[in-house]
Amino acid sequence: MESLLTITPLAMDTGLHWLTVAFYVMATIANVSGLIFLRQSYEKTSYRLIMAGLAIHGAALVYRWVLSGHGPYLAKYEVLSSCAWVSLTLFLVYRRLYPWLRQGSILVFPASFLMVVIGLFTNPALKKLPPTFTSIWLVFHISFYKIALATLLIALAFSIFYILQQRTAYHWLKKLPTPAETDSIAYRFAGFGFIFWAIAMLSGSIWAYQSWGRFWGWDPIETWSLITWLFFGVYLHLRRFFGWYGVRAACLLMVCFALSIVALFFAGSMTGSIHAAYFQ
Amino acid sequence: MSRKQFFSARRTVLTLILLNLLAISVAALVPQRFETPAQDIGQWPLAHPWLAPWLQGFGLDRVFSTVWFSVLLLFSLIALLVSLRLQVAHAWSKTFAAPQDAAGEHWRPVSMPDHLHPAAWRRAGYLLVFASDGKWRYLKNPWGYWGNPLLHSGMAIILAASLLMALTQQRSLLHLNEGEVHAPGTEWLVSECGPLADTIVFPEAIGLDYVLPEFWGQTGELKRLSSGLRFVDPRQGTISQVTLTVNAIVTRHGFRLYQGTNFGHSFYLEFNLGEGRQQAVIFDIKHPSTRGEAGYGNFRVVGVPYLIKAKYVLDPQTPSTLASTPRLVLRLVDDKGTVLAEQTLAPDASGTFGPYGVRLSRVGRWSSIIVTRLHGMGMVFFGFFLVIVGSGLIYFSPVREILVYRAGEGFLLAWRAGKFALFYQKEYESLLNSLRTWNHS
Repeated sequence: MESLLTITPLAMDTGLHWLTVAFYVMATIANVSGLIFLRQSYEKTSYRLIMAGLAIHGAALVYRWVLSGHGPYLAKYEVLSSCAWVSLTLFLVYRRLYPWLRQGSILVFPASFLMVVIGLFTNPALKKLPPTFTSIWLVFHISFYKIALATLLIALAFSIFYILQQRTAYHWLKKLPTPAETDSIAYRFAGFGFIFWAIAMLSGSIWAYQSWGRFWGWDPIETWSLITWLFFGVYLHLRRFFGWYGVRAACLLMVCFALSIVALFFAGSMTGSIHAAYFQ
Repeated sequence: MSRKQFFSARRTVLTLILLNLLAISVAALVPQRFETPAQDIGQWPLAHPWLAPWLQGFGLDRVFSTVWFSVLLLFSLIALLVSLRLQVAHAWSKTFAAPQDAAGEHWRPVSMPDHLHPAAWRRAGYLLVFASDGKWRYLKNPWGYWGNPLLHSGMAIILAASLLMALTQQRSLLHLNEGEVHAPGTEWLVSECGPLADTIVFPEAIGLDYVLPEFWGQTGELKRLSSGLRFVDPRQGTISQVTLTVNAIVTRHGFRLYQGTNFGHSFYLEFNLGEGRQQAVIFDIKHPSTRGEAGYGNFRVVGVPYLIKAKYVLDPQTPSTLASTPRLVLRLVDDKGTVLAEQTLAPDASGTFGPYGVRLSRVGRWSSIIVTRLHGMGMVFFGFFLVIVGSGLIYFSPVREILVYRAGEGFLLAWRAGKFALFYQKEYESLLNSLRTWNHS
């Protein structure tokens, strides 16, 4: 009987994550219905739920940090969970700075709980840090990729909103900023993401130089990361110098975002990647 | 169209970015020679016969060392430099020149004092940068005009430094067993150098005294790896000892030495081949990545016409992976893959191995050391820094501008933002409000 009641640390960790998911799902339902059916009370409730979920999620990440002895960046489970936490936290910060980002939650909330759920269906076993993963530059490297992803998620949300504004006439879309503003928000957050991505690449190259004497090794993740950054460069260049805006710019941003997902979550699994340890 | 116009044309710039993207994408999709095992490189054209002619003709399996990729980088660098010159001139004139008559601006008649400079504008960060002939110009974040030149100069510096490094880099890999010494001028295990550089000649002998791995308790995964090195200067006869650890680089005679992450056990074997023939060999096998796994290696021994497959496991009963005595398992395998003989050996043990005798005289460790000399690293990081500062100025602090022209008895005011004007409409309204407040006070 006693053994049945014993909770292993790993079960505690995954349990906290499932509790987080429950809060995030409830928050998403309340938020989406609040925004679509124009019920402010639902939306307010969604923020209370998301804050509670975020606190539990944060506690789960800290608990795992203590268990594993390193930050949450060494397995799919940890990577996805921490990406979700950073995306949500950063969205709440941005929303406080720019209140007109409010509707971005329609994409950010579900994306966050999906990341946690996908992570929960992977192996949550604890992994130990390889010796090359002990550099402070690695912490900057990883943190800025997470911040870049969170920022690009907002750019993606507003690109989708722009297309919906152009192609549909849903009532709730009228509560969004004007289409020109929506387009401009996507453009600016893509610019922010471009900067954060560059900082992540820079700190990664310093880490690589410190760890194995190369600042760039054309590793699959490095290559896909550079491809993504250049694609965002093309997007910004087209907007700045070729006057691209509207639907075609929004579509290009969606392609760039898809590339960023490939670079962050799929390229690491490719054969021979020195980054393979982080997303197995 | 002049050469300058060609290189600064938007279409040229976009085409160059897209060509770079195409080249890098090809390298990401087609296995590259420098990072793929030789047998996989050989298999790839067989699996994709329709791509084989392209692979040969354009060197798609070695994109980054092809002439066309270097030419592409050179064109990109020229385009960046031409564009940079124009951008600096543009930023200079935007920051310091007299206000230009801005057609299309939304001019608004306002009442203002003759001496202008409402305090609220200064508080909002608007600086008076021009005042003459009835024209005034205020700028907020004037450094924002320098974002593009900084971004592009950073990219030009990175490209130039990367080219410099590709041409002059020296990089060698050393594989040493405990007690072994690498004398100056001796061949390295692997050596890479740019077209303008020679293979590294390290001025001192490098000896490996010991390899000290540390492991995580539960799993036996590698936690920390150090090597005790001994440097012997043959001219002065001096000896110095240093400890090299992963992520703790040692700089010596302008070279940087890194502890590689590859290490393992060295098995010193003596084969008795019959008829009084002895063959002493060392089998260096990579350390298993976790406690429960084995380390594997395939070897050929002179005088033995078969492949010898070796594996070793650490004693699972020993709590510390470091203290564990490895047991070596040898298999003699013919060309068809048939196992002809098998022998398990502990240190100092001997036995028969098919038609041969074999003795494991001792077990040590081996480790890999990376030696590099790169010129231009500082430039690369400085270039990256400029890219980040430049793009930060563009997207985080766009320039805002107030123009005030005297018009008869009153004034005309125009406001504009270099980028994202929609974000700053409230700021504009508050500037106008401050003017109204001033008029009422």
